[in-house]
Amino acid sequence: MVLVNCREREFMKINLYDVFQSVWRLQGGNPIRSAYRSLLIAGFCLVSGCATHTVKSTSYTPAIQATENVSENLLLDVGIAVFDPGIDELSSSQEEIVNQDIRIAESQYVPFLLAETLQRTGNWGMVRVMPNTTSPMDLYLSGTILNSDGESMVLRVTVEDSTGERWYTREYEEATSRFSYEPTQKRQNDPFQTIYNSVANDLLAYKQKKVGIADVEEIRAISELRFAKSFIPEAFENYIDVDRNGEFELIALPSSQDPLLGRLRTIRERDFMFIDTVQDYYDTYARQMREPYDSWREQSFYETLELRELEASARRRIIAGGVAVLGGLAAATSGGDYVTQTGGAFGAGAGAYMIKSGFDKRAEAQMHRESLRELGESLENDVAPRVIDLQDRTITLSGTVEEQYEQWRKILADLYAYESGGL
Amino acid sequence: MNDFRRNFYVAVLGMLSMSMLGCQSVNQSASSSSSPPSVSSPSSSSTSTMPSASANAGGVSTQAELPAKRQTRNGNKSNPAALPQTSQAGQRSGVESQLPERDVTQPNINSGNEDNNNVYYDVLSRENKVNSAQETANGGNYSLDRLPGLGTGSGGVVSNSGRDSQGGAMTASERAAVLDQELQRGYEEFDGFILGERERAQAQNNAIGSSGSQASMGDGQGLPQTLPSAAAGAMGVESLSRPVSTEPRSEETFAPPSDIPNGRDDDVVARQLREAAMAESDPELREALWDEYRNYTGLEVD
Repeated sequence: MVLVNCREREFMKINLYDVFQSVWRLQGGNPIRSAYRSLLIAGFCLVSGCATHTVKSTSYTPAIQATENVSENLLLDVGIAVFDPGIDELSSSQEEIVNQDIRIAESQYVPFLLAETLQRTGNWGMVRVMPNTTSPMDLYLSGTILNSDGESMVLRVTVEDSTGERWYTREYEEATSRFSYEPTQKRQNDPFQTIYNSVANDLLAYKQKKVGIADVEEIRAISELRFAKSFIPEAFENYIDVDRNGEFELIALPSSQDPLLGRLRTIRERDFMFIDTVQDYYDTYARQMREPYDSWREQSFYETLELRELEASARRRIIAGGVAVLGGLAAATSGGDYVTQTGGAFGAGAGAYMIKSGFDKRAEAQMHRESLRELGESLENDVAPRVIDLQDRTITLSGTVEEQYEQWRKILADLYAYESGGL
Repeated sequence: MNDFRRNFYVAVLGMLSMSMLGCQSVNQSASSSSSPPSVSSPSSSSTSTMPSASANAGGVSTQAELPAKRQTRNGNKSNPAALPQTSQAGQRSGVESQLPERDVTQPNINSGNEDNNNVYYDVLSRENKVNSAQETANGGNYSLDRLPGLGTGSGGVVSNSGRDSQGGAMTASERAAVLDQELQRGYEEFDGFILGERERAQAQNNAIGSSGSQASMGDGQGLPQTLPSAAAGAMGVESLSRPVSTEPRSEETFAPPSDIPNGRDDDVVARQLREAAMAESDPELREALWDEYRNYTGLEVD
């Protein structure tokens, strides 16, 4: 059973299988049956030509909050990378309607919403969109936007921890309904909030199922030591090692009283402050982007739906018309009596008309494609400067901070040398 | 008269050297007394410089312990028999046994001679410490390169006198202490920079929130304005449970109560609490935040 969404947007149920069965049973050498079959096929195609088969889900998946109390030092900090806009993975048909600048804007917007979702669950420590990969976090999420057109969104998300162990890579797909764009709904949730909730729930489920307390402690220790090692490699290289698979192994733990470790913890706090500042940038960016982006998505939703319906309708009409023409011609030429020949001719004519209407639909679809492109350009003008501003600010701040870190690295190296008797 | 002028100039130069070197080196006393710097006996030099070292050694080590350490160290170098005075002193002298010349042959602070083996100078020069000689004179106050946006340092080069005077008389632990202080100063500068940047970002954010709320009201919906975090709205709880505010968030800050210290030594959490309290326009909430700040920092709560 399939939910058929007609152009009038009235839902009705059609058992496609039953229809095909009934048509196919009309077989045999009876010419009347043969003509009737041709007409039935053509009629069915006409009916189906105005319909598109879209599976809609109106169920809302809430983000799950863990019920058990977890000590704060056992909460994993999560870093989310800016997503891959997925431009390299666009199909040729997608390339026509996907605006690359919007995808790039989304690649910064989507991880921010995901971070907000994960943070709100309370299941994790700090959840931040990461400006770069130099700050090791306990968990690291990266993703690719495979599709986003206002009507559906497809994401591929990869999760790995600070040891380098990949937890999983999964694809998430959600087709939203028009109700998600109702003003009251939009105010409360992002139209694709369910997809973020699903990612959050999967992450929690994996952690609860496969990651024990000892693992959490090891992950946290390794992320701290990786950070320390990035500042003073010679002082911390003996605590962690990299195995053949490129995963980090904990060899030993430094003393908690180690003054060098204390200094690095202090610096790491500063690193978190830096990441928090970048988070403020993303927050500003998301708020700037939200209104025009939601507006674009809403319009794109209807345009995409229309486009999909028209494309499907055009395709079906052309195919059905072709079949009807062939069937009609066959009946007209090889029919043994007048009725069959007349029926065949009538079927061929109907098929030809159907092919023509298919091409009309295709032209109409092209108009919607143009409309989508214009919508994209309109949003692009709005968000592209903001993306550039966000990137500029992030890169500038990262550069400044990195410069400061470089100086601290030198001081720490000298301190280590003095304190270890190297000088 | 010429003799008087010469003596006057020498005396002025001597005083200048004293002030620039912070009197940390035992041999500076020789220059201040207008005699050429020379190798002096550790005992006599340390004795003669103790008071001035106590007065000027700030930022390097505690005033009380610095002269004593130097005395021990110099004594070790000039008199190996004095090595096993304390185990710590022995370790230090062992670590620094590579640097005897720096202590024995003190260059003339006015002649500009450079001691290229000066480790402390090496550390500073590697880090491109470019502070004025005046800063150097005020207790070796080398600061880290300033963060862009905060202005650059005063430029110039570390004075020769600064290098000479400090490099020659510091133990490894003292150097470590100096570097630690550099780190601390770096933290402070970094914190100031980051907090300034965060304030800017949040002010911008608030401005967007204000315009957003106005736009929202302009729609005639009459619904609560969207909270900043409602972009995600995963749970749909926060946006519904918070009090409705139709006023744009104020960007002004409110002065802390009189019992709140300047916050110079605040850690990250305390700073965030302070920042939130100063930005809170609701007096009750603000007071609650200040109470939280007091609790966190160990101040007495009213």
